[in-house]
Amino acid sequence: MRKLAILVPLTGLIFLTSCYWGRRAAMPQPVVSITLTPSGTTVTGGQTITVAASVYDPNDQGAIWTLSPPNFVALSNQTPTSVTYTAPMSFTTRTTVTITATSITNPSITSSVQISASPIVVALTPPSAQTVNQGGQVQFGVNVINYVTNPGVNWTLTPANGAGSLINVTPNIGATYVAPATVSGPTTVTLTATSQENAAAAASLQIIVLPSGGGPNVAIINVDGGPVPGQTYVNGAFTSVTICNSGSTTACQTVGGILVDTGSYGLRILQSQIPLLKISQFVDGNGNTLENCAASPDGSYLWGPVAPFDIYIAGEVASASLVQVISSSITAVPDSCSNGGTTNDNTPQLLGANGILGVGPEPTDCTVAGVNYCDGSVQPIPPNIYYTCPASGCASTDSPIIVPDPMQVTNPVASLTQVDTGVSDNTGVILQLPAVSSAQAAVVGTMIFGIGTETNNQLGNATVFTLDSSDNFTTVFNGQSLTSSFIDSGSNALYFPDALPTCTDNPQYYCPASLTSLSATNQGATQGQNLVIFSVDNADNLFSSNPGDPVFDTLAGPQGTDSSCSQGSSSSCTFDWGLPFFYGRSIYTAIDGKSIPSTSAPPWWAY
Amino acid sequence: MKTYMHGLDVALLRRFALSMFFGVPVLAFATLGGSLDSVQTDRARFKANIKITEDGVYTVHELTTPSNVVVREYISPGGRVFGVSWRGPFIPDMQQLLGSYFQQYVMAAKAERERHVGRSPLNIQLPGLVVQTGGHMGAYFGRAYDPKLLPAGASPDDIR
Repeated sequence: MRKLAILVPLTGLIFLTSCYWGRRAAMPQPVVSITLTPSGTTVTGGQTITVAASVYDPNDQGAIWTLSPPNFVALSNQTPTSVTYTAPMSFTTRTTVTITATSITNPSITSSVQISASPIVVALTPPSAQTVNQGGQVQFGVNVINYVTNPGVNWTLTPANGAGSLINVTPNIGATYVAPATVSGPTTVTLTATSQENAAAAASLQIIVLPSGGGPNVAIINVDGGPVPGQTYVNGAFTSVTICNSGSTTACQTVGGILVDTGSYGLRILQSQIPLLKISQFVDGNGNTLENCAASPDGSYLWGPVAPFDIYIAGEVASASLVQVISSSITAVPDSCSNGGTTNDNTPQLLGANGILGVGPEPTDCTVAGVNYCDGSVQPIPPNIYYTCPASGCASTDSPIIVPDPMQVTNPVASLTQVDTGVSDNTGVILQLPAVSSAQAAVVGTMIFGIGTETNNQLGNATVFTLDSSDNFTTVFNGQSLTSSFIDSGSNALYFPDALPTCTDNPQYYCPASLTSLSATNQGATQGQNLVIFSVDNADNLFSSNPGDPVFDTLAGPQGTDSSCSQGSSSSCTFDWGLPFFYGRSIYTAIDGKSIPSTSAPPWWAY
Repeated sequence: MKTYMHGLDVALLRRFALSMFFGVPVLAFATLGGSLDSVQTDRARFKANIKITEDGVYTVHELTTPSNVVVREYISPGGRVFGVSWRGPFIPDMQQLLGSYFQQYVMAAKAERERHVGRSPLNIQLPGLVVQTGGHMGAYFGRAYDPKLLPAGASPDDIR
């Protein structure tokens, strides 16, 4: 009570003082209030909405209007008591727009409403590039979200004439593509579904019509120099994948220029290629995220978080597949991953690709011949594959951690199912590239999903080569028993120990005086034997005579030294059967842990 | 030629595990160009089998790291490590393996990467350092040596 008694006179004094000084400066601000309607509304691309202000103002001056973000298109028809907001025609992410009315009489009085602007999204099912045989058909579904009144789309083919037709067309359900009766070679058609309400909202995908060999479990691979302008990636096979937020069919991005690699496991995608997707990282109780390291024998490495995505390729999907997102910007990488400063391949220019699709014979990136080295089951100290980092980034001294199998980067092939039928094509892949004659500007091949699961992926007459405890087999070459040999579409040449001279300009390759014919015998760990005839040409001459060409079937280089492998078996005695080996062959890679009727237990290769 | 086998030392293993827990850096093997003393020091800290092979010219120590990578150290009669090789499911710590040669290796590996895009084995041939690597995910190998440190009677082919 005593405190209150003192307060009252003091307050009165302050009031009087302020009145006195206020009189000298300006009139006291009149009482103004603003109420806006409507609030909490949503708009979509190109849509308009009128906001009205109810202003209590003794001077009757109304309000002026501002928009945030300021360039998220426009306000129009501005009056003291209303304004019209128009959303952009085309935008990609949901955006909260704030419209603010400021009293003209008293600028300190404002009122705001928030409007949620969601883009119209057109989504196709399946969403990824498709292959189909000449005369064949592919069905597509369509789904439009955030439309105002019209959920329909217009369907178009590009080119419009001579590249097939559409039947059973409905604006809001789907359409069926009918391929031309005959094509002379792989023919690409673009299918586009455009919102009838907003032409800026569209989805499109490529359909590749093949004379034969197409289908829902068949993706195209291109040896075309890779996705980076001005850069020629020699003997790299590239495909495209459509990556969606896990569980979503509308939040998706299609990324081309993905290197197909039978020498690794899991999809590794550059963060810069999926800016619209949500990276749902694994987070522990302390807010640390799970990070993955993929080191390469050439001294480079890939670093970034593990996150689930739905991966669509051809007519197949790997749901909630764990992907490595290669971080665009990095504060610090543990030394045990980076080796203290080797090359971090986190741009298309450095990687030569937009990502790597590891489709080799193991289910995760920490499994070797069925043994998981990262889950703590065989060794208490984990290898340099997984780390946990605070939001501020890892420290260079951080140690790797144990991670259970269900949190490891996953070979997506091991969980592929067909979108339309739900049938699993998850036992492995077959890569097919045509035979080539020396250098070429490009070749087109196919990647077939599943082995022994469809009529188009049966083993047939191919010979199975089983793998040893390091996922290798043996190649006998020139009297050497190369016991750590392997087939690797991600290696851009044949690499093996020989006495051939290395090149002057390109010392990682061999430069015999002229085209040299050689032979080697591949032997599986427990079964499979085959004599391979191959040729090696002068790489310096190949490159200088065929500038810019990426396809070379006679490219080879040294791997270790010739004489050391002659003395006896050593793990460094290797024949690396890189991409040139794939030209003119169908090469099967069967995944560890899968079961394929009438064949040996994987892992194995066959051709 | 004599071969010795040292069995798993449980006490050492426990000490190793504890030191890992407290974040003390643990040297698993000697570095290229390092001395025999450093090898002996590392052996004392090392957890698994160590196989020592001698022939007339040099000694080979074969170690297995906690990540199942087999590392061989080639030691000259003068007691220096003139070559190292490795093989296993993971790439070992190259900084630890190459020691004072590491920066040379990093520069040369970067230079080779910049010369051509694509994934291929590494083949560094410098006057004072040779590094050759290869393999695929889950099965890596490589070797490094200093040609100037090779003892008389030893050949680069011996390092494997």
